[in-house]
Amino acid sequence: MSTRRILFWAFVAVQALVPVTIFGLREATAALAPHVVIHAMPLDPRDPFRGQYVAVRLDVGYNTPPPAAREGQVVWVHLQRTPTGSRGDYASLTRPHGTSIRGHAHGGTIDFGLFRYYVSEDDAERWQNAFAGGNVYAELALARDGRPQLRRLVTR
Amino acid sequence: MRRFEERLADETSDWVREGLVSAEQAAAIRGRYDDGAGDERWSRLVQVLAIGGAIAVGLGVILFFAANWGEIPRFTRLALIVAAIVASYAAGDRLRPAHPHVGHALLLLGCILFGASLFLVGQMENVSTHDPLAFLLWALAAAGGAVLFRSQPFAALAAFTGGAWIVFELVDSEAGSAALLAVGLYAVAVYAFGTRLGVGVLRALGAGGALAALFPLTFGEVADEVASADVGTAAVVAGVALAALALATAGWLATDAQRTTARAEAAACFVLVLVFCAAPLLDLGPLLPNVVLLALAAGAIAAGYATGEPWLANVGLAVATVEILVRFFDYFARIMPRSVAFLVGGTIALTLAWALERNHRRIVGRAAR
Repeated sequence: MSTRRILFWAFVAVQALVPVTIFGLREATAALAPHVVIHAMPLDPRDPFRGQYVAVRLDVGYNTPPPAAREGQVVWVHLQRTPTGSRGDYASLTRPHGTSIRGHAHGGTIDFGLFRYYVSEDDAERWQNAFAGGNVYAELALARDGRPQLRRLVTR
Repeated sequence: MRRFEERLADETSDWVREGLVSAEQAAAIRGRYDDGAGDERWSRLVQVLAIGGAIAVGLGVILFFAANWGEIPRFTRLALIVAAIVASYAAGDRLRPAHPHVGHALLLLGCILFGASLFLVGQMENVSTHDPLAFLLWALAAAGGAVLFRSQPFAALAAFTGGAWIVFELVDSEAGSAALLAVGLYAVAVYAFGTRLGVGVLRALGAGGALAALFPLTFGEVADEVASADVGTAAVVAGVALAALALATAGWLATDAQRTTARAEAAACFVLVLVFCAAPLLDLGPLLPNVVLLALAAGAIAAGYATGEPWLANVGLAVATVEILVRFFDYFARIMPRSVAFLVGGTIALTLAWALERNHRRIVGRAAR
C-alpha cells in the first residue's frame, strides 16, 4: 500500500473515530459515574425554547462560594439526598467527601454552567408546561472531578 | 448573450470576406478555441453540479437525522452517521480516477458528514461545554483534506469553518461585538495565505471577507460604535493572535519573487491589519476607511490587470461602484429634496453603468490576456 493510500485511510479513520470517541467517553462517564437529580430551571423562563433545545441551569440550593474563593476558581458543593432530588448544603475549595458537584465562583455566586437539552417539536409543549409548574429536574452523571454531565430531564 | 465560439465564427467569416485571413487560417483559428473552450465549460458545469449535489445530500442527511432523531436508537444513530462518512470517502476514492468531479464531490460529502456528525453526537449527548470546538475540529479535517486531495472545495470548507470557529468562540466568550474585526483580520490572513500558495478559492474568499468587513467601518456610526465597544480579554487575545497571523502571512506573501504584485498585495494586507487593529482603539471616523476602501478597489483593478486575473479586476470595479452609490445616498441624498436625490442618484448610476459597459471589456479583457 502506498504512502498516499495509508494517509487517505488514516484521514478517514480519524474522522470516523472522532464522533465515536466523543460518544464513547460520554457514555463511559455516564455508565461509571454516580447519578444525581437536581432541580432545573430554564435560562429564560418567558421563552425557554431556543429552536430545538432548551437551555437550562441548575438550582443546586446552595449558591454561595467560600469567602476565600477568587473569581473563576473551582468550587465544589456537597450534595445531600432529599425525597425530591439532591440539594447542596455547603461549598468548599477542596473536594469534600461524599457526592459533590463542581462549579466556578462567579460574581459572588457559584456557576454550574448551562446545559442544552434537545427535544422534539411534539414534546416541546409538555416541557413548556412542566417548566411553568417548576417541576423539572435534571438527571446528571457526575464525573470523577465532580463535573456534571446532563443525561436527561425528568418531571416530578 | 451569444457564445464566444459563435461570435468568433462570425468575426472570422468577416475576416475571410475582407481578405485579412484565408479560409484555412480562419478554420484554424476557430479550431484553436472550439474544443478546448467547450470542454472547459462542460467540465465546470459537471464540477458545479457535483459539488452542489454533495452539499445538498449533506444537508438532506442532517435534516433527516434532525427530524427522525428521537425514533432511531442511540447506537444505530452513531453507526449510521459513521458508516455514511466512511462510505462517502470510500466511494469518492473509488470513483475519482474515472470520474474526477463526482469522486471529488463524494470526498467533500464525507467531510461535510464529519462536521454533521460532531453536531449530531453533541445533540445526542446534550453536549454544551464549549461548542465552538466542533467548528475547529471540522476546519482541521477540511484543511487536511485540502492538502491531501489538493482540493479547492476542501480549502473553501476549511476557510468557512475556521471563520465560524472564530466567531462562535467570541460569541461564547461574550465578545461578539469584536466578531466583525476578527473576521476582517482572518480574511486578510486567508487572502495572503491563498495568494502565496496560489489557491484561487482562498484568495476570492479572503478578498471578499476583508472588503465586506471593512465596508461597515465606512459608516461613521459603525466606526464610532466599534471604537466605543467594551471589549474583554477574549477579544483582545483573539485580535492580537489574528493580527499576528495576518501580518505573518502578509510578510510571507511579500517574499514571493514569482508574483509581480506580491509586495503591493502584502502592503494592502498590512494597511488592512492596521485599520482593523486601530478601529477599536481610536475613533477612525468615516473618511479613512472610505479612502482605504477606494484605494483597495483601485489596487485590485491594477493588480488584476498586471497579473492577468480578470476576477480581481471585477472585484475592484464592483467595490468602487457600490462605494460610489452608497456614499451618494449616505451623504448627499440626505441634504437634497427626495426627487432631486433620486434624479441625481439615478444619473450617477446610469453614468457608472455607461462607463463600466464601455471600459469593462477593455480592462477585464486586457487582464485576461
